Amino acid sequence: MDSFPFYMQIFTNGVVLSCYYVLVAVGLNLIMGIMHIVNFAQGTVYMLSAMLLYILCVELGLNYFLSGAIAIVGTAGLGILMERFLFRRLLGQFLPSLVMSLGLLLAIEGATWLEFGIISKAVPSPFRGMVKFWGAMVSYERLVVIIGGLLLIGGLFIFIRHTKAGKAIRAVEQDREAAILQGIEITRICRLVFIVSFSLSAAAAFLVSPMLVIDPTIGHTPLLKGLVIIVLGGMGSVTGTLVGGFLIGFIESITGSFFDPTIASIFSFVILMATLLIRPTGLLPYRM
Amino acid sequence: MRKTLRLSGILLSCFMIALLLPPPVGSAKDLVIGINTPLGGGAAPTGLGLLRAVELGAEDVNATGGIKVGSDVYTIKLITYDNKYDAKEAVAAVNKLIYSDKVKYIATTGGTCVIAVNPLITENKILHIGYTYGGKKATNPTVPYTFRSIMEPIHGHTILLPWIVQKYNVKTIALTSTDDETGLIQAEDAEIVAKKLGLTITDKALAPRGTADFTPMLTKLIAKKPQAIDFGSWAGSEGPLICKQAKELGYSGVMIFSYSQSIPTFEKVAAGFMDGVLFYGIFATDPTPLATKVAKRYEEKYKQKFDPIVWRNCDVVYVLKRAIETAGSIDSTAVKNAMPKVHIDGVFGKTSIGGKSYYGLDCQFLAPIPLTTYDGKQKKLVELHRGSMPADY
Repeated sequence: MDSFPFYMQIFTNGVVLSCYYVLVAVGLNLIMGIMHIVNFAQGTVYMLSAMLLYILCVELGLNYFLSGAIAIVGTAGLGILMERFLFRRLLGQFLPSLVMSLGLLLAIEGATWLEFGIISKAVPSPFRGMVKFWGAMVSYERLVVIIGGLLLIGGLFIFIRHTKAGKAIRAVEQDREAAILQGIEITRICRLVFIVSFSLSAAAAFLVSPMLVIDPTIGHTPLLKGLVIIVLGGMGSVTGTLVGGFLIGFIESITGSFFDPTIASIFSFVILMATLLIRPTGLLPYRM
Repeated sequence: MRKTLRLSGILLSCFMIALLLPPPVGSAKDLVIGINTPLGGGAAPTGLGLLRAVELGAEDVNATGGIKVGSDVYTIKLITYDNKYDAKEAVAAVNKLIYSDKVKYIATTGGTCVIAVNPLITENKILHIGYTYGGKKATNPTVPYTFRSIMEPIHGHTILLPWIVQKYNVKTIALTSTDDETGLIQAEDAEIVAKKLGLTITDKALAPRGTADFTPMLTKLIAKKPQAIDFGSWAGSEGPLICKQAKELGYSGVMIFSYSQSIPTFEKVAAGFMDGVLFYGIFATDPTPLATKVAKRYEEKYKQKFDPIVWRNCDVVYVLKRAIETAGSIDSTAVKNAMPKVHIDGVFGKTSIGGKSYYGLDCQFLAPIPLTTYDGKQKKLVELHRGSMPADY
């Protein structure tokens, strides 16, 4: 093996995987941090957004970027509805919300199977071609995932740290009652968190769909990885999710390239268990 | 009172006599075939391939007079269960078919599924067709009721890999496959034939079905610069995905898809990345008039572009029909014994049941197998080579 191109390839593979996982994991973590509920339907939201993208782009023939924008807005709208009619009354109730989100996952997936059938679908990529990057081959699709993913993550960071709304979210996450006393409206913040969370999952679907296939089960992998990442990074911690996401992405890329994907998956869980033994609250808990 | 009793007695006697009378000559009866196949997930195109092939075959046989056994005429009916390409689901489905639906003929998709259901099949003497690889674990003398509708990868490699090696001057090959029973056997078979041909195996990589991003695994394989890669049992939507991702990583060597692929799915998922890819067992043009008829009926019935993967199982119903007629009975044991005597003009040409020298009993549908490549400019398959196993195999 030529060493440098090989390691460069592993690095770029790792960045792509990390961006993909982080975008879904952050959304999951925001909801958990603010509302103290685990939304098992987050992966299903990702899948629905990908399906919507497919319908708009392939079946209706709309421009890919327009389809993506509509899919993101539509998914954000779904977030508003879900928060208002399903999760608001379960605020802070871990088990009922867990059961609700599991039920949603099964119901939505089943309905999608019935409606869209069993054959996997594909969204044609508007980004054709490849580029050589210090010996590593990177398709334009993956480059878009890297650039788009990093921009979104950076944008989220700025939003959380430097905007009034972001500070309000952090305040609620740190101390709900104190936030109420400061005049922060919890309902509005919960709605905002759902909008941001679902939009991030939809953005992940928009970026990643041309790279992979679309079927009702595509939400399982990002959900599972997302749960691992938020536990590893620290529940409720956006910074922790970023660190955890990149750690898992790179671990999978490295172990997958030296061993095989099954060992890569096992290794992720081994790292998670080892981290929890040393730091049970995760790597960077409570660090929005 | 006496009159009522007398009348009741007469009516009861008539009823008892009626029960004892034989059914009318030439009455239509049902021959139920159970279909145990994946209808969802990555393996769905493969699973649908079996289901639709048997549906079309059944309709054709029913439309041309059914299956005649003595004075009886049987109409084929199907009962289908989704096994999700999972061994536990396959066993559950076969339990239902045998004990609830009382079926004596079953077709199953998937090596892991066939192997899992074989004990039930053998115990209950069910005539079983496996759309499977699975090697000698799936079919052997301890499971005499199971037959396989497609040839093993080892047969495909035995017939086609020497031609590929000579044509493309291949000296090194990498192998990848799924990490289930089917995949392991696929990889082993490829390795056996590759070593016989003097090829160096640069690397082997297995991964679970459902893998979405193959780039880490492919990075490892491609780094050792193999001249060819055999993609083992990756199929459904995973086959074209791994093809696309390999090409995106810059791989330009020989790419061999030795497992059954759905070309329409390949064209959707790997559009623009199929040029020069080699496929086993997929005909570029209709191999026989029967194949043309099947393709036409498929498009009329399902309103979709014909998927050549369907041809692979079209002979299942015709072989069963011939075996039942040869046996002169629908008894599954009699039909099982008649199967090795079957010779038909099948979808791919002359088809018979053989394989005793490899499996220990004749259980393998034997038909010609083609090697095709996808021509990116013409956007269609082109046949490169065709071969068969020897008649006494």
